[in-house]
Amino acid sequence: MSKADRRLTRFVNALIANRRPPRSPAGDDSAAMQVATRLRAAHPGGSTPSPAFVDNLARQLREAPAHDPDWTEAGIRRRRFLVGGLAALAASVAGGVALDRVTEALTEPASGGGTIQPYISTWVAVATLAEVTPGKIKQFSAGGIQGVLFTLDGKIRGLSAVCTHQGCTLIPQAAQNRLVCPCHPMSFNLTGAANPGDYRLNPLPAIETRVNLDNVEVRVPNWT
Amino acid sequence: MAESSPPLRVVGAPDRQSDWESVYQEHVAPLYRYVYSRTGNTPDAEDVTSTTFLRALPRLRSDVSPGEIGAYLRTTARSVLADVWRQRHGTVLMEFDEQRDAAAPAEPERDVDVSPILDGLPENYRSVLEFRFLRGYSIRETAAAMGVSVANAKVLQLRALRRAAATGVRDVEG
Repeated sequence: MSKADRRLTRFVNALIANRRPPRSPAGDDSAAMQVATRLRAAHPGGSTPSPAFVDNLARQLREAPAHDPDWTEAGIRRRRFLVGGLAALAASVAGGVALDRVTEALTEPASGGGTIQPYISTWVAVATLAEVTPGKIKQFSAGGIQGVLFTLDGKIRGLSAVCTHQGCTLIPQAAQNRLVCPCHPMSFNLTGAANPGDYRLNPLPAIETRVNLDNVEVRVPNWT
Repeated sequence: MAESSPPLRVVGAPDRQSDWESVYQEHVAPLYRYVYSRTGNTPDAEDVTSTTFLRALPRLRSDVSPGEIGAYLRTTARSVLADVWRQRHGTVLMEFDEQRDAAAPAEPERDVDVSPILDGLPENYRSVLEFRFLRGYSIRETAAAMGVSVANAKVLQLRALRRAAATGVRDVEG
C-alpha cells in the first residue's frame, strides 16, 4: 500500500468506527474522502442527534454569555440571552419594559470575579511546577481560556488574563506583582482586583488549579 | 425544558420567534442532520452543531422568519465545517453549492440519497462500498461476504472510492 492508500484507509476506518478522521493532508484524495463521508452519512440511523446532546447544548446556550457588541446599534432589535442571575430581568422584559432600559441594565457591570466554572470541564496540564515558583507569572492558553499561574501566599493560583474592561489580554509584570492591560492605563493585582485607576473594573475571575506530579493543571472547558 | 427561562419579548416584535429556546428546539435536529451528512461521524457532527449555535444564535434578530434562521444556521455551519477541514486536511473537502442550499426548503426529512454515487460503478465496487459504508461491515466481514481475501477487500474499497470520486461526485445532492 502506498502512503496515500494508508491515509485514505485511516480516514475510512475512522468514519466507519464513528470517530473523527485523523489529521492528515488530503493530497489527491479529497474527492475520495468526500465520497466516503457522503456514503457513511447515508447509513441508517446516524443522522439524528442524541437527546443527551440536544439537552447539553441547550444548557450551554442558556449559560453562554451574551456578547453581541452591536446590541446598542440604533434601530436594530436583537435577541439576547438572559441567563442565571438575570432571570428577574428577563421577567421584566417579558412584562414589556422599553428596550433602552434593558440595554442599560445589561451593559452595567455584573458582580464579576468568582471562579470560572465551565459546564463541561476538564483538567489540563499547562505548566511544570518549576515554572510557577514565587516571583514568576506563567501565561497559558487552554480550552479557550487565557490565563496566568503564579504563587500567592505560598499557594498556586490561577486567574483569567482577559481584562474585564474590553477583553484585551493582560501582560504579566512579575516584578510588580501585577497584570497590565495593553489597551488602557489599568492593571490588576494578583488577588484579581483592579488597581485604582481611570476605570472601575470588575475583578478577574479565578481559575481552579491543582498539582499533579510535576505539573500544574487548570480546570478549563472541555471543548475539542 | 423552557420553564426556567421566560420568553424574551422585545418591544415591537410581539410573537415571532421571541423565545430562543423554541428557535433552538425547532432547528437543532435539521441542522444536525445537515452537518452529519457532511461529516459522517457523530463527534464532528456534535462539535460543528454546537459551535454553529453558539456562534449564530446570539446574532439572530428577533424578527426574522424560521426559513431565514435555517439558512443563516446552515451558512454558519458551512464556515465552521470549512475551518475544520482546512485545519485537518489542508483543504475544503466539500464544494458547497450555496445557491442550492439557499433554495432548499427548510431541510427535508429524507435520508441522503447516495444512488448517484453508486450507480454506474462496477458491481464489485458497489458491493464493497455498500458493505463497508452503508452496513458498517468490518474489512474481514466484507471480504467474507464478497468471497475475496482480506487484502483484496482493503484494496477494493480504496479503488471503489477513487473511481466514484472521479465520476459521480458532482452529481450528488446535499
